[in-house]
This record gives sequence, C-alpha cells and structure tokens, in this order.
Amino acid sequence: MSVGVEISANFGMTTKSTGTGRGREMDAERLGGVIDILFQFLGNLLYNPEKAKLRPDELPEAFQPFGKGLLFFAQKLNEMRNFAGELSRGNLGVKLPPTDNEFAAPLKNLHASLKHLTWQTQQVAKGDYSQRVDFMGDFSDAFNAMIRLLDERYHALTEEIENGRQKTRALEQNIDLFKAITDRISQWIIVLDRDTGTPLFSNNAMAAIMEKDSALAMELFAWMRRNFSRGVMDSATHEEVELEAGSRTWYLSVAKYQLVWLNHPAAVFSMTDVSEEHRYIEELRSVAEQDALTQVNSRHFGMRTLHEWVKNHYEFCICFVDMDFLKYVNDTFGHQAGDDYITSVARLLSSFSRDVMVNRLGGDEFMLLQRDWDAARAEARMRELAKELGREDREQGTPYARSISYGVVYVPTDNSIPASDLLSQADEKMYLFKRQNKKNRGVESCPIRPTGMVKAGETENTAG
Amino acid sequence: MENVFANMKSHSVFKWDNLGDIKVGRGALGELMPVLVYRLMQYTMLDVISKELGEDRANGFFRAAGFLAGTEFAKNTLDLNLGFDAFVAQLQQVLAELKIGILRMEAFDKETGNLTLTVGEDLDCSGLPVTDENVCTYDEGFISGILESYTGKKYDVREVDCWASGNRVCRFRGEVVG
Repeated sequence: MSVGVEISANFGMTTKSTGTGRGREMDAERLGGVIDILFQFLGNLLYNPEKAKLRPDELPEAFQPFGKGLLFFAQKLNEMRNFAGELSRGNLGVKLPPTDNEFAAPLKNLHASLKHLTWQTQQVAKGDYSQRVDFMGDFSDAFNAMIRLLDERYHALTEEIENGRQKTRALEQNIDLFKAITDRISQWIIVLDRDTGTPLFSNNAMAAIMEKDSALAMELFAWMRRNFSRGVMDSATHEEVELEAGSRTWYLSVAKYQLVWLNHPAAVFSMTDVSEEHRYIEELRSVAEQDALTQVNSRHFGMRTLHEWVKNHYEFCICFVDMDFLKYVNDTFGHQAGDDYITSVARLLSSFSRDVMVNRLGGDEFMLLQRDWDAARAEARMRELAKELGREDREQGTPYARSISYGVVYVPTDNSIPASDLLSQADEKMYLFKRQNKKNRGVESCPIRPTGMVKAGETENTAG
Repeated sequence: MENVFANMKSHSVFKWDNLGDIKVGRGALGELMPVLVYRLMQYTMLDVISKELGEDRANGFFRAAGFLAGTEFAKNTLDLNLGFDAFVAQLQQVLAELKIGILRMEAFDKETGNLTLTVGEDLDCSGLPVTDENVCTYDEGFISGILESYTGKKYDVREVDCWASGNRVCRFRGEVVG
C-alpha cells in the first residue's frame, strides 16, 4: 500500500481549500502525490543523500515554503553529516558548519574539546604533566589519572636516572682514581681475558715494559697463558717467577687474582720486578754461606747443614780436618803463603768427592759432610787425600810440607746425639790423630798418618 | 582645607584593593552570586553605552575594561614566573575555580607566540540566544591583558567563534602585535 494514499485520505478529510466532492477527491490525490514526493525526499535524505532532490517550485504553492524549509533542513543535516564524518576521520582542521546550523552545535563543542585534547596530548607528549582536562566526565577522570600516573613515573624515572648519573659520576671518579693509582705504582699490572688471553687492561708500567722489552713480553704472555691452562687461577695466589728472556734472567714477584670484568672471566696479574733484590739476596747468601778465601761453604752453611741432617736422621759421615803447621807457614813464609796453603787444602778437599760438602769452620779447620758413606770409606778417602798432598809437595817442591789431621765420625740414621756433640767428637778424634802424628814423626815434620774408623759415640781413635 | 587624599579614594580609578573585602562585606550572602546578575549589569551597560556612543565604541570600551581587568587579574591572582605550559595549566585551573569559564588551549606557536584557545561555558555569553554576533569583547580584552602581563608582549585577541553566533563555544585567536 502506498503510504501517500493513506496519508492523502487524512489530508483530504482535513483540508479546507476545496469546495466540491470531486475537487476534494482530486486534491486528496494530488496531495497524496506531494506527500509521496516529500516522503521519498525524506527517505533519500536519510539513506541516499546524493539522491535527495527536491524542487520546491514544482510543489503546489501552499507546499513551497514547507519544501524550502525541508531543503534548508536537508542542507543543515548534510552539513552536520559531513562535519561528523570529518571528525570521525580525525580531521580537526575541517571547516565548521555555519553559525545558523544549530544541529551542529554539540558537534562543534565536541570539535573544540577534541582540539583541546589534541593540544593537551601534545603537551603530555613533550613531557608537560601539569595539564588537566576539566568537565569531560569520565574522560577527564581517566585522562587526568593517566597524566598523574605518567607524572609519577616520570619523577620516579627521573630520580632513577639521577641516581644512575650519580653512580656513574662516582664510578668515573673511582676509575680515574684507580687509573691514577695504577699508573703511578711501579708494579706491572695487566688484566687478561681468560677465554682468549687478550689484554683488557694494562697500566703504564706494564705498557712501558712490553714496549721496551719484547722478549720479556713474549715470555710473560706465555707464562700467564700457561697459568690459565693449569687452572691455577681458582683463587688468589702469590709466587715468585723466574723467566729467561733474551740474555737476562728476570725474577718477578707475581700476585694473581681472578675476577669477572665486562661479563668476561678475567685474570689480574700484579708483578713486581725483584731481579735486583734477588741478586742482592744471592750475594748476601753467598757471603753468608761461602767462604771468601777458599770458595768452599762457610761455617754458617756447614753448621746449618749439619743440624738439618741430624734432625732429618740422615746417615752420613763427619770429617773434622785440621791443617798442620799453618802458624809455622804464616810466621815463616808470610800470610800469603799461609793463604795459599789454606786454598790448596780446600781445593784438594773439594776434590775428595763430587758429593762431599766441604765447609771451612775457620782458620785451619774444615768440616766435611758426606751422605750415604760409611766410616771406612771416609777413612780411605782421607788417607788418599793425605797422600795426594804429599805427592803434590814432592812434585811442586813446596818449601814446607803440607799435611792434615782428621777425625771421622759416622752418624747412623738412629743417631740421638746432638749435632754440636757429634762435631766435638770428630774434633776430638782429629786431635788424637794429630797428637799421634806428632808423636810418630816429630814436631817440625809430621807425616800424615791415616787414622781408624770412628763411629758416632765412640771415644777412642782406632787409627794405628 | 582641601582633602588631598580624595582622589585616592575614588572608585572611578580602578585599584584591585578597592574590590573590597567581600567576605566581610557580604557575611550573610557570601561571595557568590548568580551569573544572571552579572549579565544583567553587563548587557544593560552595553545597551546604554551603545545607544549613547554606538555599538563599535561601546564594544571598544568593553574591550578596554576587559584588558584592565585581565592585567589586574594576572598581577593579583596568577604566578607570572611559571613556564608557559605550567602558566596555562594554572590559568585553566583559576578560571574554572572562579567559574569564569572552561579554558581549553588548542594551539600555541612558540615561534610567533600566537595561540588559539576556547572558553567553554563562558560567563559572558554561554546560553545567550543566537544572534549571529560575537559578543565577548570584554573577554577579548581580558585575555589579551593576561597574555600581555605574562609575556610582556602586546596581544591582539579576537573572538572568532562565539556562542551567540551559534558556535556553542567561544574561540579566541591571539596574535602578537608588538
């Protein structure tokens, strides 16, 4: 059914413009047509705006103002529709509907709010959290809560960043201090990556020595890498290292640590060149342990060795040797001749055996210490030595006869006699030997005579 | 004897302090009154001055009065030492608290200093019948007075959209002119 027909009937009943029944019927029909046009226009206006066409001058005269009103209404509706469409696409630069469009007023208000929100958002984006959105209902609450939250996070982050900066500054200062210290100390400090052996840090002293002595640098790196492979870096250690580099021997005191640096396991070597100290100590040791005149061991060294062997329950022999007639040689031929006498005896004693330890106790006294020998063998060797002295005297035509007296004490592994007493026993044996020699050969020329074996603890010299 | 202090007491020369102690003076009625009363004074005054001097001159007087009000308002109620963003936030808050209007910044060109802002629920015009006029000349002066006090630059503020012209919101564009 045509809507227009039904409506036209109503219009026909209410219209006052016609006279006859036929006229009324025609007017109603015509009215129905007009209403159809207007109804179609309204439908198109709502659902097919591009087809919404209306020409008021084609309407009956009485409907023309209404038609013009509808066209104006359509224009305002389309303005609002277009405006809303642009807003929905986010185009806030859209031209606003004219001021006579009251329909669009709430949308204009919305447009103003959106423009303001755009500005507010731009402010927030650049870090201005002082802005607030007012009178926009739930949106204001949500937006303002977001800004407050952002502000709190910003301040928290700012504080965190500032803390980080302060820590960084402190760290930089510490690094400067660390570098200043490490560059000024004389130790060579180097940090190596334990995986690759690559240097991660070296102080000035280390860099200087590596540049100055490439042979030493090569030996050092080889030594440090051997340390990695031996796995000795599990804890901090300290050791003295001897390195041959070029024609020189280096003695280094090395402290080693491990640490994690830049996420890499690293090894720190702190080295002190103690070569000079080492040489000095060797000199001191030599002075202390070596007799300056004869180059055999000193009394200090000999007594220390004797005590150690006794303490360790070694089996060994003590030969106490005393040169005969040294005072006579000194007084008669001078001290140089006396010294020559002493050195010649020391040389012969040193040739006694490669394993013998010859110690000059002082003046004309020597002490020989010999491991793993029994007394008989020691006695035999001493006799040979005495003969050798006589043979040299005869060959070289020495103006005086050289001879020695000796006493041998055998020290078994179960010995319980103190070292000093053992030496006294050997001294006593020597004295008996010397007295026996004087008795047998006269005071001025006393031939060397062998003495018998003497075991530790025995008091009687068995030599014949 | 002549009262040499007489001129100092005149209310025809505006002084912020001469606004008086409203709390004391209106102990029973309080500090607030309906917007109706404000507009009654505003539009009757506009009527009288327009009839006497013409609309253009009347609007000019209103703009000048607004400018004076804006400078005094800025000096006496706002912290002028804030940065721009904080100043805008403060202004927005104070205008809302005093129920002058809802200030909403839309754009600010920091190179030129030019800006666009809207005032919603404006004291002067929101709710007026639409007459296709921009009526907020007092606001134009008021805003330029505030901006000049804050920036030290002369602003020409013009209302480009107005409730009374059917735009539901009063939009002002301010340009630095010196």
